Amino acid sequence: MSELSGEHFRKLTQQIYLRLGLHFEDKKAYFLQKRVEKRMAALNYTDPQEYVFHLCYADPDGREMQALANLITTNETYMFREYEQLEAFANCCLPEVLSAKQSRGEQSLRIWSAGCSSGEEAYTLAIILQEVFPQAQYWNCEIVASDVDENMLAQAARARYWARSVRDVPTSYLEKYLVREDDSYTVRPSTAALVRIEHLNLHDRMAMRAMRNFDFIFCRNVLIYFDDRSRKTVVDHFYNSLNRGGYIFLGHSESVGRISSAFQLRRVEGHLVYAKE
Amino acid sequence: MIQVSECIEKLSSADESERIYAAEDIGYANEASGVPALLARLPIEPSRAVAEAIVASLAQIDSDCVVSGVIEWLDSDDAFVRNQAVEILRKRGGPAITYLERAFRQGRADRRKFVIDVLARLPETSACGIYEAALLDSDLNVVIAAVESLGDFRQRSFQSKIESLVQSEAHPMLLCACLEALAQIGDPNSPAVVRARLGGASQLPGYLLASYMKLLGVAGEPTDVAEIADTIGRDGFEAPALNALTSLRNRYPGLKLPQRVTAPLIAIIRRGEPTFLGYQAVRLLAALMDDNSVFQFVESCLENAEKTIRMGAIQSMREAGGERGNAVIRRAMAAETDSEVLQAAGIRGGA
Repeated sequence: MSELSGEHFRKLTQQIYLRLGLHFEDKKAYFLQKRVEKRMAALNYTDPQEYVFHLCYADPDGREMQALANLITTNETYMFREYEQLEAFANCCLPEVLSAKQSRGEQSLRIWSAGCSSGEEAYTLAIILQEVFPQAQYWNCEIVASDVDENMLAQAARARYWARSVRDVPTSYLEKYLVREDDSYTVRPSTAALVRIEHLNLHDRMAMRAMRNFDFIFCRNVLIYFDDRSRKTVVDHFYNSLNRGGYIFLGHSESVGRISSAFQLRRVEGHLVYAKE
Repeated sequence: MIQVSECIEKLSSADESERIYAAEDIGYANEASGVPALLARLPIEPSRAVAEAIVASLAQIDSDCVVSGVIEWLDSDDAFVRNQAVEILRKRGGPAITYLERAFRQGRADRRKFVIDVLARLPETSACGIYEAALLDSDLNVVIAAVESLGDFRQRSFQSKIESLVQSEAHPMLLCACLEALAQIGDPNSPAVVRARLGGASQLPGYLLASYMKLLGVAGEPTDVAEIADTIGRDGFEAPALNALTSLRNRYPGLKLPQRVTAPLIAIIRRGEPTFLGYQAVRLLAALMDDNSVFQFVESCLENAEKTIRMGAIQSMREAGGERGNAVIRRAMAAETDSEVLQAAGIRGGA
C-alpha cells in the first residue's frame, strides 16, 4: 500500500482539523496512515494524492469525512478519560469559579455533561467536585447528564460500571466513591445524587434554550460526529447556556475556537480552555 | 409560528441571549423579509456571539437578497465581516456565481481577490469565465489567488494557461503559486516545461525548490530520482525531498534509490527529530535494503526509542526484508511492549 508523504499528512491533518476539529500530531502518522489505507481500499484508490483530493475537494456532503471520522475516533467512554484536561478543571477552573461565587455570596454550581452516553463523565465530575470542594454538600450543586439515547441514559441511571470503565480512577477514589460488587463497581449514592439524568437532543433548539445557568459544560468527543452547521448551532447554544465566567470543555483534541469565536481562549496548566467572559 | 417582525425588534434588545435567539429564529423562519434587518445589524453588533448567530441565520435563509447583500460585505474594513461574507457565499454555491461574476467585473482589486477566495472552495465549472479573467488581471494578488484555486481543484483545462505564466521574469510569488498548482494538477509534461523555462533543481532559487520537488514527486519519472536525491543534502530541503521520493515510490513501487541517499536518510533518523521525517526516512530505506549494512541499520531501528521509527522499520522489513526480515521482526517483538507497535507487527494480543 502507498505511503502518505509529509505533504499528504499535512493536508489530511489540516482538513481533519478544519472539519472535525481534531488535532493530529506527527507521532500519529502511522495511526492515520492505517486508517487512510482502509478508506483508500474501500474507494479503490491506490495513490494517497487521489484520496487527499477526494477528502478536500470532492466531499461536499461530508460523507467521506464521516467515514474517516468513524475510523479515527473511539466510542469508548470511561471514568477519568482525558485525565490531564480534568486536572486543569479540578486545579484551576473549578476553584476559580467557586471562589468567584463565594465572593458574590452565591451557593450554587451547575455543570452539564452534554452527550453523556452511559454517564462515566458525569460521575467523574461528581467525584472531582466532592474531592475538590467538600462543602459541595451544603451548596446547591447539580451535574446534569444529558443524552439523546434512552438506553444509554438507563445505563447512566444505574451508575454501575465494569472494571474497564473504572481503570483510570485513582485507587483512593475507587474505594471512596465506588462500591465493588463482584466484577462491577457502583457509584456511591452520596456521589450519584449530585447527578441528574436528563433526556435531551442537542439538535432540539427549543429544549436547548431551556438549558441555562451552567458554570461548566463538558461535551467531549461528541461534536465530532456532527456536521459543520449542527456543530456551530450546538456551540452557540452552549454559549447561551453558560454563565459569564463559565467554561466549556470539548475533547482534548477538539477546538472550540474553530467552531465559534465567541469564547475567550485561556491557557491553564498547559491546557487551552475556553471561557465565556 | 415565528413572527419575523417581533424577532427584528428583538435584534436591538439589550439582552445578548435575546438577540441571539432573535437572529436564530429569523433564520429558521427562512423569510426574505428578515434579511435587511440582519444585514444592517451585523456591522454594529458588539457581541461576537450575536454576530455569529446573524451569520448562521443569513446562511440559512434561502433568498437571493442574502447573496446580493452579503457581497457588499466584501468591501468591509472589518476582517470578520469580510470572512463571514466569503463563508456565506461559499455555502450558497452555484446560485451565487452570477452575482460573483458581476462583483468581479465591477469591483476594486480587493473585491476581485475576495471573489476568487469565495470560488476557492466551489468546484463550479460555471466559474470558468471568472478564472479566465482573473488570470489576466492587472493585480498580482488576484492572479495568484486564481492560480492557487485552480491548482486546488486540479483544473486540467487551465494547465497550459498556468504553464504559460511560468516565465523567468515573473514575480517569485506567482512562480511559487504556479509550481504548486502544477504539482496539484500532476501532468507528466509539467516538469519538462518548468525545466525549460527556469532550469532544474541545481539552477532553481531556494524559494522555488520545495514546490519543484513536489512537482517531481507527483508528476516526475523514475529518472528524476537522481535530481531529487541531490537535493536532500541542501539545507532546509530534507522534508520536500523525502516527500518527493515517497510520492515517486508510491507511483513506481519497485523504484530503487541511489546509494548516495543512504547516509542522509540514516542521519535524519539518528538525529531523532522531527518524528514524521524520521518515519519517512526509515520507510525510504526499504528501497536500499539490498545492501546488508542498510538492512542491519533498519533492524536496529526496531529498537529505536521513538515508536514511530519502530513502526516504520516494521513496514520496511515487511516490504523489503523477505523471510529474514520477518524473522527479525518476530525476534524484536518479543521485547516490545507498545500495543500500537505490536499491532503494526500483526501481533494483536499486545493490544
